[in-house]
Amino acid sequence: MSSEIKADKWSPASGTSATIGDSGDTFTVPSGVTLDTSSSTLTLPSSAITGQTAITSLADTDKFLVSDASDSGNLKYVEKQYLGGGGSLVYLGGINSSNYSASKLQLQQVFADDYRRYKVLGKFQGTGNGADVEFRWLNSSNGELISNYYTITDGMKSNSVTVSNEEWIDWNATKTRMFRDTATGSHIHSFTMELFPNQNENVNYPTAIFQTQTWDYNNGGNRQRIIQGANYVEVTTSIAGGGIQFESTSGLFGTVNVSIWGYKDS
Amino acid sequence: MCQYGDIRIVNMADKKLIFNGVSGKTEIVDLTAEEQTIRDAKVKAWNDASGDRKLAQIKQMRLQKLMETDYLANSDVTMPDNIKTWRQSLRDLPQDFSTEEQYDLLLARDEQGNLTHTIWSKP
Repeated sequence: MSSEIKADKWSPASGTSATIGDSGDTFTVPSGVTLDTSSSTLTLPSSAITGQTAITSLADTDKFLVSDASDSGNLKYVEKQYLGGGGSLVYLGGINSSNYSASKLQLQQVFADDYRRYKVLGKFQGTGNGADVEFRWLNSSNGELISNYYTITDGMKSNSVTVSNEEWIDWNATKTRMFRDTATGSHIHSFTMELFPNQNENVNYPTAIFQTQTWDYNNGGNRQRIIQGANYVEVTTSIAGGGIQFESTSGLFGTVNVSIWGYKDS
Repeated sequence: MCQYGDIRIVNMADKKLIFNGVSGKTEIVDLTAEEQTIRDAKVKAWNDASGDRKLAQIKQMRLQKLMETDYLANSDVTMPDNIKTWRQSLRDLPQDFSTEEQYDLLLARDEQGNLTHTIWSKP
């Protein structure tokens, strides 16, 4: 048997509190009905958030509930894509492997419209004694840019007894020599790069600034070398959607750890 | 033919280690035939230039040694004859040592990493 209560106001029969229903009951507010609590206090159960299904990544259109300070604190939502946060460094991926014995390392198709600049950190062991490691840009089809590299470097090297300058240029060359005369064995060669593929600019000369720390083979008389360098490639074809490559002139890469991040401006 | 019978030498393709930003995958793949041809030519050119690289290194070491005694050429200093002779020997290195085997002798080091050829020792 069902019945309908019609009253303009509900109040506790005594005191200041009352209960609706019993455990297990469900009360439904039908479509079209407004339950206006805007002038009162609405207490949510503590499981209102933790009782929901968790997600492990956010889409740009995922929404957060906010109180709009510019509109009397009215509740509104903001989408994840507008959260900003003053820019950020976003990990895009990389290679972390040991002893695959490759002569080339490629980070393909890592440049995206979301970023204008990139950071690369890496280290490796291996290659042949005395080998150079060369850098090249890749286009979106993973093809290598093979001309018009203009590179300058300078730095220092030391075998603990003497210190001397080191510098080289690759002018209008087919690649940039980032490392020269590398030593094999347990020696680790490390580097950092800032990349400016300029894929969002009108002029597409891709540019890289790098620092390297390496152990020279030096015909068996190992010495440490630090180099800073920069290159630009005089090409006007875009490398949007492209990436970068490292290649040894002889021998193979052993343990490799290379990662790339994108700078997000906002 | 060797004691184990016929051995057919098969050239193994070089490999490249790839991370792809679109797929998010890392993989190791063989160079294509075209890439391998370019790679082989590059390695050959590198190996062929071994002597040139060693000579460049020798010249750099020679420059360092000459610079260490340049002060003796000042007008107010008398350069000893044995230093003159030694500096001339350094200058003559490219003509007196012209093969890669001779370059290796000049670049040889002991277990402590010290150069062993006597020409590097200042008299």
